[in-house]
Amino acid sequence: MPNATPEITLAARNLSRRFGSRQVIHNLSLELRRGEVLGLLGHNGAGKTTTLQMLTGCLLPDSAEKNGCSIEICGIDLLRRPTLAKAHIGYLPETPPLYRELSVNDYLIFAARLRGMKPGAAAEALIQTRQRCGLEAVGRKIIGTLSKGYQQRVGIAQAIIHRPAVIVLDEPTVGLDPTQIRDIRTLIRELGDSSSVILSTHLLGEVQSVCDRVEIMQHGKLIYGDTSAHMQQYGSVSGFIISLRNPPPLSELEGIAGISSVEPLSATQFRVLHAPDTNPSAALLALAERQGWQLEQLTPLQATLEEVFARITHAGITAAEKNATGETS
Amino acid sequence: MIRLLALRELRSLFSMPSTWFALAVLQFIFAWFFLARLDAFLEVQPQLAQLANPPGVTITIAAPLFNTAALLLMMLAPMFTMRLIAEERRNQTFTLLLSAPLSSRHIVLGKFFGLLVFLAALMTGVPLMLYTLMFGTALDHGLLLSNMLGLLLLTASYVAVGLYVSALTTQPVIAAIGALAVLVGLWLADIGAAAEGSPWHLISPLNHFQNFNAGLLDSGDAAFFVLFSAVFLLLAMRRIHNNRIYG
Repeated sequence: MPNATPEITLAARNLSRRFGSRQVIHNLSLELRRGEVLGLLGHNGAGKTTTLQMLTGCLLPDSAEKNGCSIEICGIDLLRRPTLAKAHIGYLPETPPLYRELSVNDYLIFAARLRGMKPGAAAEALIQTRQRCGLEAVGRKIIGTLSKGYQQRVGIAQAIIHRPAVIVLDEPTVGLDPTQIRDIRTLIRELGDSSSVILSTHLLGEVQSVCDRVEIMQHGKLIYGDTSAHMQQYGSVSGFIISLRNPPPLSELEGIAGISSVEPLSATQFRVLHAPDTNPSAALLALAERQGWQLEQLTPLQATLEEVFARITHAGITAAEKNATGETS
Repeated sequence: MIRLLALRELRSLFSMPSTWFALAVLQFIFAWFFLARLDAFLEVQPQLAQLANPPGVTITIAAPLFNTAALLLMMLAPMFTMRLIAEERRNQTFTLLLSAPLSSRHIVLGKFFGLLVFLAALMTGVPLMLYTLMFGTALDHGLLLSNMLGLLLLTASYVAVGLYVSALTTQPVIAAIGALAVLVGLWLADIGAAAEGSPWHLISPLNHFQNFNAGLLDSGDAAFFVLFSAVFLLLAMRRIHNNRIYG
């Protein structure tokens, strides 16, 4: 029987980083298994890019020995044996690192060889990667002449051409049109089947549609981590919004068994809240039909990711403030 | 890996129109200078023939031509070295190299050899023109060889300086001006120092080229060029390593 839990491809412990006197990352730890897509979510300046730079070896964490920090890629220590470990990483930075004067084919072959692929294998990988990223038609074109969307795809192609175990994508869908975003998300999902993917984003929809797991970053710390399905339930409310063309008095609605509160939104619209374990919508529907309230719409309340995100980050801020005041007093 | 990086450097250079333009203009300048020298030589040849031990065609044409090439190279090398690292930083392509399984040694040596090969190719016009004289007269091959070797070593030292300055900054223009300042500064210090044994003569690459230019192979001069290049290449590696520390 194959391993039930897939291997850990990336393990980072206690990463800290300061730029000058400003501490950008505080003791950050992260773990990733094969076949997982992790979304790193956060406001601008939360430290997402710095974290990804450290995970890919472009930036060294502060005083590795003292803090006991380590980064392991497929079990290889990135800080001690960087050249070995980096062969397993594919990295797309915020600005795709493209040599604009080269053709797409030449550039991708260079990227593959750079990660230690043999010429034969690189040529084969080129054909496959071009097909995966939808670059078949532009292979001979000069990168500088391509549109932004194609350049982004070339950027992703260079990150995956050597079939790395860990793929790190820094805001992969920035500046793309909706169709391209959809294509890229499908591609990321596919990549997540065979490798581990970390992507940073400030788009919640992206997390919703692509990621298995979410880590929310704020002020250089991970403040929340869970599966993305769980995150959507975070702080969700049970209730619905109804619109009645011929509404009864408020007290009549409140009288229905199971309904805890009714709040009128307009003359015909009401927000109805109920306890999470009961669902009075059936009773309400039956009553509406009998009394001739002319029900038009019944929409279950759903916390949007935006709300969840705001709630979590706000909780993070207040917690931090509490800590700060606790320390000073 | 070093070869791969060097080839990438060459491919990028040759895919830019400005490279071809520089190449064409330089060949034109060399040819002009060569023909002017040849003309002057033909004019004074009758008088030279009356001397007991007249200077040959190689020393009167080749040596000044190589000397001019060496001087031009001083102005020219920074224009090519400026791109090496500074432009990669500015275009954010440097991240590709930093996140790839390469050490700073690979990056520096790859770029160094890539540009050295290119500048050597740029300079091949000079000996090629000189060898056309073989159809009419006998040439001093020893003198030509010593000049070519000297010019190659000189180029290596210029590229090493330029590479290091380029590693210090994000702005290619600053890298160019910085490298030019170092090279011209060393040259001016050399010609400005009047005393025979002044240390300024010792640290100037162009001064060490003079022996090669006169056809004298001195292992001391060769060692100077090797050391000079090695020091700046090591400094560049150090700087790229620090890149990961300071961001």
